[in-house]
Amino acid sequence: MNGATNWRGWLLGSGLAQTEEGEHRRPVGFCLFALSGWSFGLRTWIATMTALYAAFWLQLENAYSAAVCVAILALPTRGQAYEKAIYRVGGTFIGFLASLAIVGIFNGTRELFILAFAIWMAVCGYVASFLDGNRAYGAVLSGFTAAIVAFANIDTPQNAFLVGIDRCAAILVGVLAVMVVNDLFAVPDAFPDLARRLEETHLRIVEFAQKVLRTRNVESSEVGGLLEAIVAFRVEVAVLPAESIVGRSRAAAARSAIAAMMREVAAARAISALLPETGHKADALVDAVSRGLVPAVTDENRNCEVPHHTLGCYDANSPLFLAATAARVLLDQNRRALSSFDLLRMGTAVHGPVLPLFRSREAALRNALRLFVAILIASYSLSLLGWPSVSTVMLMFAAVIAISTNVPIPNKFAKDALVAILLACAVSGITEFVILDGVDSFPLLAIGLAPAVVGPGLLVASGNPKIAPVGTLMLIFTPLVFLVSNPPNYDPRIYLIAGSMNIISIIFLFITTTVLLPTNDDRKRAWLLGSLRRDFRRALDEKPLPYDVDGATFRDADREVQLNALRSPASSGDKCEQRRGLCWVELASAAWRMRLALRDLQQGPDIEKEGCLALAAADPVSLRQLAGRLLTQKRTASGGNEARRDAAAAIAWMAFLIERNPHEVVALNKGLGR
Amino acid sequence: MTHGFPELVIGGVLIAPFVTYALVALVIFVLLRRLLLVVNFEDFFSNAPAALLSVYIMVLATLIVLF
Repeated sequence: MNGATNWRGWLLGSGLAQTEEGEHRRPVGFCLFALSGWSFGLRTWIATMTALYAAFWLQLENAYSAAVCVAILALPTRGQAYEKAIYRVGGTFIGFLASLAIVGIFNGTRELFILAFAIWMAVCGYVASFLDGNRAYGAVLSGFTAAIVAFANIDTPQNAFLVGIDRCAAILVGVLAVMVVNDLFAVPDAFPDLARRLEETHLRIVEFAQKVLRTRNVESSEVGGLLEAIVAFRVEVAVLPAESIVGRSRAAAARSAIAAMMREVAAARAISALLPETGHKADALVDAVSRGLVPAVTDENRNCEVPHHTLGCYDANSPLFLAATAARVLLDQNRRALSSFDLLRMGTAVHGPVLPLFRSREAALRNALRLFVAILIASYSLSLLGWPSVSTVMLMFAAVIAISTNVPIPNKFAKDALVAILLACAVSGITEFVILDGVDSFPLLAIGLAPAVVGPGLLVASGNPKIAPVGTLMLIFTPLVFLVSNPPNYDPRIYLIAGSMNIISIIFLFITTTVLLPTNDDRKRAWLLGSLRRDFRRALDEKPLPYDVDGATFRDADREVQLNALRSPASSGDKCEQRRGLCWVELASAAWRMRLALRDLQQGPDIEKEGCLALAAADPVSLRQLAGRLLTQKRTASGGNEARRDAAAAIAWMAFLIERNPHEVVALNKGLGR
Repeated sequence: MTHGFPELVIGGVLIAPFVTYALVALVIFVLLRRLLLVVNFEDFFSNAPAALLSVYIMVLATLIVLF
């Protein structure tokens, strides 16, 4: 294969083409890029020009903000664009109100003004750290809107209100332009592709479970890959309600499918740990589960159950009982996932579970502190320099530093931003002084701007993780450097000032992300271990737990994905910490499940307390006695048979894990781990 | 007879009549979505988003003409 073919395949094998047309169809290309990429670029250009025309017509002061808004909302599916638009409007409005408060209260005192602004940015960064996707974006946007409205008018507070109104109007114009163009051009919905990928992931899980039953072994890398794929769906499902009238019902069904898949993986892992302990006694069980576990509902598997009377016969503390309980969960959740897919396709109203994220409190505090210090240093150093137009530097710097706190790798974001701003300056210069060169009619402006918008749009649509982020940033930065206005100014000084100030902002970002409170993986690992210890203790507390089984399983999986994402430690001590982390995830998760099962049993606080005491003492014998007692309770005892079996299994599973890891549970409970 | 447009004033700030119409139309449209969900409105159209956009514009135009 020659280099040209490689290059062509690199661009044509685009993520967007896959998103819109399905993985199995080879994308049709034109001039190195997929046709869907060209369609995306042209759509973005039409939306940008519509927004600019409307902003000029409304005589908005900062008409280029509308073009920037379109660039930010240039996303491949309608749902993604609409959801982001909602948070963009909401975030801007909150930021505008905060700006008015900051300007009104700290009008005459510059130092307090800067301090209040830095605190507001830190608060927004802290909140964003607990959110994901567009919610997090909305939170940081509230922060840096204060830079655009308040900080830019630090010397002219009387203008803050008008600038804020102008900003809100420009954003509304941009949002409306994107919505109208997306609707009229029938931009693809996120739903069909999402539904297809959910079903594919479910198929992978069924294959994984079948493999576990066949080989009685589990590969941690395979589990990690599955968990990562399932957790990633959470952000994508959030866009469904914005996409159509039935979107809310579809999102609920999708969440239900995600929770079911997560519990299937957990059950398969438990089975893999238990089957080696059972020997050949479990062959009949394995055979029954293998027959029932299929990726589609059939007449045969609809009634396939692990017989409940068989479950009742086992000793609560035998591995076979635990394996049979896990097998029943696996089959139940498989059926639940399949019925959720049906509901998803039909859009039937259903109550979906809440899928809580795991976010480290320490990471959020560090993000907030980093934002606070960065804003203070940048503000005071720029004030001391006394340059004209330094507020331009702060506007861009506040925006990019706030966004950098919420990206997975801040350094990569800073590098992409640096490349994008340099390219944006070059593209803006060529467009303004070579292509347009003094024209003042809107049609010519639109034609002249086409390469500057369609080009980065093609990069975005390529879906390549190396160039797509640069394309997105170029789309956003180009109008900020060009500063397109009506009447147009072709003043090289304005271009040079805007370009150089924006480049300085990105250099500031680069320095900040590198030297100011960077967080290495060892520190993140230590935070995760600390959170596991806290969660284990919460399971021993008398306070009720805040999540149900679905929520707790998803949150644990999210944390495990974050732990797996950390770079493999180099030293043997750190490798030990990584292994300990995965073991603690399992223990904390089992402790929560035991506590939730005891709560669902509804036999009063005494039994919960007894379980917690045995767990706190890391005493597997007491736990096993409790499990045995629960299972042999008469049918008349409060709590159904199923709830009693589940509780007995959860307690016996906890005892099983304690026996396997006696030192770890002591370390987890008493804080002797570090 | 000339059609007058109501002007909204909040704290001394004059809000353009179109903004008021657009916001009220948005509220009506959000409420109307529940009804459209019941009648499976989206199933009648090949480009449902364009149909929904048209509904919003019809509500907006009706408000402007009537009030």
